[in-house]
Amino acid sequence: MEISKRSLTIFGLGWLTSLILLGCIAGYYYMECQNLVAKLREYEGCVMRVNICLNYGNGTAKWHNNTVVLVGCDLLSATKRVATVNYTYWPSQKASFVDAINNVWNNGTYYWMWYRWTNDSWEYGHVGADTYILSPNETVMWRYEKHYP
Amino acid sequence: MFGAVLGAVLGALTMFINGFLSPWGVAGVVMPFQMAGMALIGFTGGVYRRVLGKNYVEVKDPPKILNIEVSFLAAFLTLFYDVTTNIGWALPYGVPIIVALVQGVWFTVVHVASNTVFFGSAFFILVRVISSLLGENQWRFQKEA
Repeated sequence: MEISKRSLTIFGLGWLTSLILLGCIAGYYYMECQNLVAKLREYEGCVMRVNICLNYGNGTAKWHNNTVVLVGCDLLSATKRVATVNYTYWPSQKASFVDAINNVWNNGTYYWMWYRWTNDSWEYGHVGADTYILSPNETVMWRYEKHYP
Repeated sequence: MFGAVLGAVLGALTMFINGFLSPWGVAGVVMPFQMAGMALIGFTGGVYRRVLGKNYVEVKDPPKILNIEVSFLAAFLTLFYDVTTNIGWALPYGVPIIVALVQGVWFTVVHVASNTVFFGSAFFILVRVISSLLGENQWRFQKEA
């Protein structure tokens, strides 16, 4: 099939169109990226990252590394960002007690307990999750474990 | 079908009316740019018609290359129209033109893609319909002019 000069010219315009569109799409995502980076910088002082592990006690452990939370966020709020949490507030303790995480419920023998990673070991959390304020880059773990209250 | 000048006038008039009756509201300051963009499209249609030559019979059974040509031309002209109207929007509001083009790119992509498909598949059908409505002599007369 012979392609005329006219056809070639028009095809050239078509390719030019696609190149311009591709350039604009690339520019669009570049601008979006720049906006997000600027926003991240803007909120840098207001947010922090923490690592949260959900250990189901059956060999399954799911890590949520670099979870972004507000500075001053408590453990319960941070956990709610990565999982479905059921809890009960106990006025006498002035703290909340986690009843279930991701529909895995405390059952009288097994309970959800939390730990924080110190220099080289897991340290048991002695206070209610909603009263423990996280620090930047802190690593915490929820473990579903046998417990005799 | 009626020549480049009439095509340009019709294009401009279409956008003039559209500027008042569009469901998006009155076009405002963008209208002259819309009119200019559509005028160029109408003009190009007339020129293309002339460039096609005297093979008006091709319109009844156009070779594939003509369909591709028309769709590519539609893509380019749609891009031109969108660029023109984006400039028309950016200038009065002091928005950098490149930002206006980039921000509106997804609309342009959909616009270009839909027109490419539409023109590639339906252009000659529409020409045939209009030709039969107006009478083939009209088409032949314009072609040979």
